[in-house]
Formats: sequence, C-alpha cells, structure tokens
Amino acid sequence: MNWIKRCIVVLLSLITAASCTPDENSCDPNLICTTISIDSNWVNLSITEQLSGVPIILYNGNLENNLIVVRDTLYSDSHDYYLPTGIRYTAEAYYRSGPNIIIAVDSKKLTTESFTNCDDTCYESDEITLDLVLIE
Amino acid sequence: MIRVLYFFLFSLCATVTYAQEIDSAGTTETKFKLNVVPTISAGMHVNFQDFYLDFGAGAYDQKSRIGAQLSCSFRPFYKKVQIHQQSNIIRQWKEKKYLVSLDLYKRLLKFHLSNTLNSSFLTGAKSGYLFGDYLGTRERPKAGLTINPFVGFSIWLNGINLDVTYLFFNDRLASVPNSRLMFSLNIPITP
Repeated sequence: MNWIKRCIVVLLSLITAASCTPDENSCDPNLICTTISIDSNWVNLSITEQLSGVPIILYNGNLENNLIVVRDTLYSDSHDYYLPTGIRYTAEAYYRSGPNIIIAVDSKKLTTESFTNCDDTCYESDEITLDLVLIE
Repeated sequence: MIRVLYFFLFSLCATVTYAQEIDSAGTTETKFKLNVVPTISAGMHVNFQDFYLDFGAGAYDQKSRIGAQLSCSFRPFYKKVQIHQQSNIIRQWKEKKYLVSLDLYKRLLKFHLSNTLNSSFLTGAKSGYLFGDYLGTRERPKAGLTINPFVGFSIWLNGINLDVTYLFFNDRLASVPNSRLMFSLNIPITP
C-alpha cells in the first residue's frame, strides 16, 4: 500500500527535522549561562558492593596507555572523583567470584560543550558515570 | 556444524521448490527470464538478551522470487559481556558489534491470508563478516566470517514485504542465545 511508503517518508522527514540544531544566533535572556570555562567535573564509579571491598583503578585514556589517575578500594556501591574535563576515563573494578577474578571495565569521555547565547559563550558539562556493576 | 546443516537444509528446500516452479512454468523460453527490481530494507533482530538494527539494499527477481542484498546490522548500544581471558580471569567489557553481510533469500509457496493480504514462506541466509569493539581498550572481540540462516514468512502489504523470520545468529557470546526473531520491511522499488 502506498500509504505505508508515504508514512515512511513522513517519518523520515520528521526525524530529519527533529535532528536539526537550534539557531546559533538565538538569544534567550532567561537561559542560565555559565560563561566561565568548566575545566573539571565529577566522574562517578558505580560498582557491585562486596564486603571485602572492590579494588578499582581509574585510567586516563585507554587501558593500554596505563596512565593511572586513581587506585582505590571501594566499600559502597558508588564513589565520585572530581577530575579535569576533556579527557576519556577508563575504570577497572576487580571482583572475586569463587576461584575466578572478574575485571569489569567501562570508559567515557568527560566533555565540556560551548554554545552562544545573546553574544555570550556559555559552557556546559555533564558528569559521567562509569558502570562497573556486574552482569546479574 | 549445526549452522552448516541448517544452511544446507534451507538451500535444499529453496532449490527444490524453485525447480518445481520452473517445471510448472513449462517452457525453457521463460526459464531464464529475469524480472529484477532493486530493493531496500530496514529491520531488526532481537531476543531477550540482545538487539540489532539491520539495513540493506539489493535486488529481487520477481520471477524466481530470489533476492540478494548487502546488509549492515549493528547493536546500537554497548552491551556488557563477560569473556574468559585466562583460566580464572574473566573480563567484563562493554561491547558493540557489527555484521556486514550478503543476504540471499527466497520467497516460496505463495498463499493468501485474506482477499487483500498475500503471503509466502521465506528462507535464506545472512553471510558476512562479524566484528566489533570494546569500550576503553584497543582490544577487540574475535572477528570472522559467519553464516546465519533464517526461515519464516513474509506478508505482502501491496508495496512492501513485512518479513518475520527465525534467525540463527551466532555472535560468539556464550551469554546470548543464538536464536532470534528478525522483523524486516523489504521495499521493492518499482517504477
């Protein structure tokens, strides 16, 4: 049926329209704008709690770079570190499971983005969570 | 081994039915006539553990009802997987995977679901190269060639085929079953 084809075309058009970025020259005086560049933010490590504690290692970049930022043992299911932005962080958590050791790995980049509002450059940065929770 | 048997079984079924259709067509003059139209497709294959999106483009011969298309399937998110690295060390990675495949399929035994809905069985295989990556490392999942047979049915919605098939897809993960359901919209581009 041709209506299905029409529906697909309409759907694709809507997706294209929705993906458009807002006008770069827009001005919203009520918008909260941080004009000071954000150079650090929180990196949250989320783990599966173990009584004996979970050793973690936080790296700058990939594991292979071996640039250790933090080496710690966590006794609760999450912990935050305040670290510089613009860097990819990779974390390892070491779990004991019977005779096995399970090493959980996750990685994300802590970014800062900027945009223009009423001729001001605004900065925003979202904290990241590295999910080292074991598969159930 | 089971995969290979599946593939041969489906190929055999497809070939036998194809032969019967040619015989019923009668003459050798019509035997080699092709009526090929380009096709595009979009779909997904899922089970309770995993989900892949699938897009493809190819050609379909309306006479023999055989089609081929180049497809790209991928998991659109990073999935936690556990891989035995050494005898007592297991790595839990976040993994994304991709499959670039050549899909061969045949629609057979046309039947009517209602006055307006035509339907047929569908069988084929997605054969291609499976590869992927892990977050936070340069290490990669084991890549390689794979043959993934599928069988199911197809509903002709007067312009679009809605294919619903069982797909045997081995993505080399012990924690994910190989059985999947594949849903696909296959659109022949007719002038």
